[in-house]
Order: sequence, then structure tokens, then C-alpha cells
Amino acid sequence: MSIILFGLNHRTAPLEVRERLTFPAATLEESLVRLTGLEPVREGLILSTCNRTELLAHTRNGFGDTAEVMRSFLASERGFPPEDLDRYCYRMTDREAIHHLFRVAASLDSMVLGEAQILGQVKDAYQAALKAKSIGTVLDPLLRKALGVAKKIRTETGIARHPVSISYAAVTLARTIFEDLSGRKILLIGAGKMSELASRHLVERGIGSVLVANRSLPRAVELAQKFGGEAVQFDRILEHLEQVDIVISSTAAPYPIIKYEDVVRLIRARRNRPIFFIDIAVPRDIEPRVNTIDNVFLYDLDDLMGVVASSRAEREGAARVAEEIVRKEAEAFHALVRALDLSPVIVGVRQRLDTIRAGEMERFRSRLSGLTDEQQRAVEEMTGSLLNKILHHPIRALKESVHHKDGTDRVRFFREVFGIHEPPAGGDEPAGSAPGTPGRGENDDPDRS
Amino acid sequence: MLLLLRIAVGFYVLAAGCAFAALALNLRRLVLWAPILATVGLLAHVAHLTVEGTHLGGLPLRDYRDVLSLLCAAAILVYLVSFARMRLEVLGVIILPVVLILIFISNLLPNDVLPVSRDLEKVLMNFHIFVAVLGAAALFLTFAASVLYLVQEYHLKEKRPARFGLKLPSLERCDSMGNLSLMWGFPLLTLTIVTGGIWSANFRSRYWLWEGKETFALLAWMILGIIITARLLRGYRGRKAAYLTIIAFTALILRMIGVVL
Repeated sequence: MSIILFGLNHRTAPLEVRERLTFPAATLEESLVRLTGLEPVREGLILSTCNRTELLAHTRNGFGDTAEVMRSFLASERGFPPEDLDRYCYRMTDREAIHHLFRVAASLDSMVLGEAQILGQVKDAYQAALKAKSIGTVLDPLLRKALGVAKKIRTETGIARHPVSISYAAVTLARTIFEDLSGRKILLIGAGKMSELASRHLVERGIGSVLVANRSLPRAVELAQKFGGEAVQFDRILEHLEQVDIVISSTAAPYPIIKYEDVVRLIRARRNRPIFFIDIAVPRDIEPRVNTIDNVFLYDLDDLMGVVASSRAEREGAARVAEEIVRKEAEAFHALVRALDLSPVIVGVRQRLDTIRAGEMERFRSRLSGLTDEQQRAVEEMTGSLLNKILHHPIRALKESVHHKDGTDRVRFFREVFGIHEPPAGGDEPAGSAPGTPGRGENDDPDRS
Repeated sequence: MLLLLRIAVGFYVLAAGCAFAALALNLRRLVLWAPILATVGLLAHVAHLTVEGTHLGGLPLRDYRDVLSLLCAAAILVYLVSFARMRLEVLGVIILPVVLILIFISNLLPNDVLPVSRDLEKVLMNFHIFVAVLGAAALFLTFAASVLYLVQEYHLKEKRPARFGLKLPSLERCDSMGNLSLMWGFPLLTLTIVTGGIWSANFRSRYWLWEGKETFALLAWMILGIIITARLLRGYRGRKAAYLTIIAFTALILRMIGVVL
């Protein structure tokens, strides 16, 4: 039994390739059904985001051919030549796959360490798989564990707390000032990639409404439409400042457009309600002295970069802690999966008993020589059937122990009872392990003379 | 009996230690221990007060020490309730040490017995103290909120990110927490001063004793009143309001300690 992961991410493939390999959410369930329809795949999951596409499968077979199956699946689903996939894709199995999945969910593999989106995306992938009924006894607990570990990491380490980009920094600062971003108004003055990005992040966080001011009104209107907001006239900015809570300014003006005296008057008109200015223009749009006014907070580009720089150090420190947690949890889960991996046990038991049967048949061959061929075959069949029937209940009980909270103890006891060795630690046993060394039972065989 | 109080103080010390350790060493796992230990301490404290009360046949309010003890218990209760509702671990770092300081100070106080002879007087006095303690406890929260506000504002203005293990609440949260507790504390304080005046007028034949203690209470009351009015009229809030609140609270505590300058 194996867990196989096959896919690509932002480190192994450029955007042009990644975008061809994303699975649209609308057809995800159908794809999952097709995935699990493939022969060796018993359970399957598809995680598709703008930065990665990964297929996760639980398979009966060995590693090699299932990975091939997954590769062809990905190629045919997305219309991409399978040979080319090898350049961009990686494949992992069992312990490595579990570890990778945990890291991904905890945002340790993301472009922005500690980002919040990936957790939701993994959750969506899990939900889709539940709906498509493509996951079961192995991948379901694995996914739930991955989500649990990710949540634990987000709350216990500082990884999600410190922003690592200017726009994230702006959003975090806004939330340090205002408890609740919903219902707040922001004013965008001027235009630019960074101010747009910051606004987008704020809008994602639920900001109430967006006003846009630009020297060119058509440009303001264009930008406003992107956020479902309103365009306002550039010369009437000061009036609008009374209503907004956050201002993002990035004009090309060579002199400050908002002066100290303006803000002193403004804060009085606002009845001291706090206001947050984000000035990412160079040269600055807002007089720096404004920051000294009570209830006014002004951050320029350097300030924001300072926040990002110190955050990065914090985040990396937190990341080290997080990696350690992920490593331990992945190990624990892997050990659990192996301990509850029943097929080698079942195969081992059957093989063991078969060996005994063959041995006994050999021993009694001379005494059975008086029988016809037909009767000898009947004896063989009878012994085989006897063993099967004897094993039926024990094996069923073994399978049920997976659902028991003492499952691992029960499996261990089963092994002991039938004298089957634990597989060596560190290696993953191929399907079909060798039976254990002769146990005491054989030496105590009462029929042995 | 004193043993119970000592146990309570011991637990408060442990709780304060946990709060600080969680803050300084970034040990998140310690965070829950502070309120848990404080709860155990509070139970011992309340047991102590109950035993004392049973001995006296009434509320254990013989002197300023008892009043302070009651105030500390009320403050811890306010802290626990706030923690339960808002999960603000940082509150412990402010409230617990101040409570410990108050307890320490109360040990240094002279045995200034509050004069209560007749029953009516006793009832009025008890009510006065009860309201005073409640009001002070509420204002304790306002004080904590103001301190947190100032810390957070300092970080925001100086552009230095807070490098603490505990999360500081947002400015707005501090502000609303402070405002809410002020809305409770100020009327209670008013009631305290009024009942104090009534008691004084009826049983001490003087309406107002212009000695240090009473003036402090009045001063605190006036400052808080100004803050509330200014906020209503001009939306006055922020750093300056926080400073004033802290001054007012200090004055109030000095009054309750019975400090005579």
C-alpha cells in the first residue's frame, strides 16, 4: 500500500506551464471521479492552486506504475504532453509525501511563507474529494491531520503573524489600529501596482468601500470599477478625508499634497476618530510631521519596508519551529499508517500458513500415496479451504482494528499471535513481506514425532 | 485564617509570573496558566474573606486593609471575566502585578479602623464600600485598557513592531474596552462619593472633609468626568485621554489606600 504524490509547484515550473495544468473548480469533482476510476488508484485528491497542482493517491500497487498512471492522467486531463511533464513534476511516496503535504498545508512551501490562502485551498480540495467520494480510510485521516497540523502551526508559531510584503504589512497595520475592517472606507490617491495590491488585500479582508482619486478622472473611474468603488475629484480630496479611515497615497507629485495643517484641521473635523495614512509615493505625498498628531498614523515606504524586514526575521524563526512540528507530526502519522498497514500482515499470515500447509502435505505425501490423483487433489483443496476458513474471522477482526483506538496494539498482538515480524524501521515494505521466523508454535507441534 | 490569604497571594504571584514568562519568553503554553492560577488564588482569597466575615458577623470591612483586600479580589474577578470573554492574555500582565503591589502596600498600612458604631451607619458604610470597590474594579479595567493603548500606540508611532509573545489588542479594541468599563466605573464612583458624603454629613456632622484622601477621590472623579464629557462633545480620545485616565486611576487608588499627603 502506498501514498503517492505527483505534481508541480512554483519552484519547479514557470507560470505559463502552471496555468495550463490547473484544474478548474467547476470540473474538479468529475476529474476526481476519473482519477479514482483508474485501476491502481483507490483514493485520490487533487490540489490545484495558482502556485501548484498536486495529485495525491492511495494505491494498492507499488510506487512505480502508479506514478506513471498519475502522470498520464494529468497529461490527458489537461491536454499536456506527458513527456514534457517530467521536466516540471516531482513524485513522492509515503513518508516523503506525507511530510510534503503537511508542509504545504502549513504554508511552509508557499511563495509567501505563512500565507493564509493555502489552508483554505487545501480545505476546498478536501471538500471536493469528499463530495466526489474519492477519499476513504487512508487519505481522509491524512487530510484531516494535515489541516489540523496547519491550524496548530498557525496559532502556536508566529508564522502567520508577520507580514512579508508591503501590502500585507499595510493590512496588518490597519488591523492593529482598527479592530474591524468591514464597513471602513479607504481612499486611493493616485495609482500604482503597490497601492492597487494593498487595496486588493484590504478588500479581500472585507473593507467596506473604496474611493479613488486621480488627476485624470477617467483613470480614477477605471480603477474604481476594479474594486466596485467610486471615483472622486482630485481637488476635493480633503473633504473626503473626513469620511475615510485609511488612505493609500502614491501620486507622482513632487511635493506633498497633504500638509500638517490640513490634518490638524481634519482630525478635529473627524472628532478624533483615528486615521491611517499609507504613503508609498516617492517623493512623499504626505508631510512626515503629520505622524506626530494624536490619533493619526502615517507610514511611508521606508517604514513599511522596515516592518517587512523585521517580520521576515520573525517569520523565518517561526518557520524553523514550524518545520520541526511538521516533521514530528509527519513521522508520527507515517508510523501510524504503517502500523495500520494491514496488507503485509495479511499476506504474511497467509504465506506463513501456506508454507505450513505445503510442509505438511510433503510430510504426509507417502501416507497419501495410496489415494487417487483426484483424492489427493481433494485433500489439497480441503487443507487450503480449511486454512481459509480458519483465517476468515481473525483477518476480519484485524481489519476492524483499524477503526479502534487501540488499533496499533491490536495489530501488534495479531502479529505476535501469528509470529510475524514487524518490518524493519526506516524502510517501506514492498507489497508482500516475508513471513516471520518460525515461532514457538511450530516447535510445540504435538504431531511432531 | 491568614494562611488562606497567604495561599491566595502565593497563587497570584505564580499567576503573575506565568503572565510575564509567557510575555517575555514567548512561551505560549504558559498563557492559560495565569488565569487558572489566579482563579485558584481567588477561591482561596474569597474563602479567606468568608471566614473573616463569619468571625465578624458581617462584611469583613474593619479597616483600609480589608477594603484593599476586597478590591484586589474584585479586580482579579474582573480580570478573569474579561479574559473569559475577550481572551486578552495581556491583561494579566497589567492587572496581576498591580494587585500584588496593592496587597503588599496593604500590609504596610496602619490599622486605621474605620469608625462604624451604629447599625444604620454600618449599612451605609458597607454599601459605600461595596460600590467603591465595584467602581474601582471597573476602573481597574479602564486603567489596564489605557496602558495597553499607550503601549500599542507607542509601537505604531515609533514604527517599532511589538516583539512580544502575547498579542496586543488593536487600538480600537483598547479604546472600546476602556470606554465601556469607564461607563460602568464612573457612575459607581459618583455613587461612592455621594454615599461617602451622606455618611460624612449624617454621622460626622461635616459634609465634606477637606483632607487629602477625599480630595483625591474628587480629583479622580473630576478628571474622569472631563474625559467622558470631552469624548462626547469633541470625540476626545487617544494618547492624552489615556494618560489622564491613568492619572485619575492612580489618584483613586491612592485614595483607597488611604494615603494622606
